[in-house]
Amino acid sequence: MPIIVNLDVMMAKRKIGLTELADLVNITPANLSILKNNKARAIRFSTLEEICKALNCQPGDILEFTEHEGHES
Amino acid sequence: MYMKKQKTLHYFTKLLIDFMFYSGIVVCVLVPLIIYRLIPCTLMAEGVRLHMMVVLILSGIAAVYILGTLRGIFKTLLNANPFTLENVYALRKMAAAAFVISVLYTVKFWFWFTLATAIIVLVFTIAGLFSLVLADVFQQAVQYKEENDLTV
Repeated sequence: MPIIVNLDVMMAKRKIGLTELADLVNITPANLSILKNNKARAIRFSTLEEICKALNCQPGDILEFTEHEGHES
Repeated sequence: MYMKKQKTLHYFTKLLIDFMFYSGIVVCVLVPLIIYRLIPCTLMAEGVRLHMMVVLILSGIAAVYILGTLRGIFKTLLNANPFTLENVYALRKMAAAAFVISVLYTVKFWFWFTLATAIIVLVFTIAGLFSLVLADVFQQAVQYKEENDLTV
């Protein structure tokens, strides 16, 4: 998938665990794990807002776009 | 109040499906007895009894299969998880069974044509088509559910 979620990197920088962040963001640890492991298909703006507030970062710190290999520019 | 009403409806639907399933099995087993001992020769010629027995047993098995599959789909509904790929395949199998019944009764045209036979062929063909369309609808629903489940 072209969109990479770097949530684990930000979580390590802020020294916050999965369960703690899930509590702060008001979603289940299972759902947060889906996001962290790049399995999510979509993210709501409200969830993104809560994650950015909890980790004190910008959406660009968590989400990254990469070209597919062999993708024509 | 609405939940209680829905639970009552589910309960009666399950009861009806279970009743038809088990009584269908019993009737299928009793078909030879019914055809050869209970139906007088004034109502059915001796020459067609064997053919009727074969058609009734095979269509009975297909009908019981449809009911068994329906029971399985209903269980997933009671578990609040009906939109699964297994249900999509189950609906396709139900459609196939309905078409089998249509074909069997089309064969019946050749040795004993009645208006009721024509109606049965039409009804089960429509039921088969309905099941196929519903299978496609369920498949779309499975995709939407997966999308929703993976939306954080």
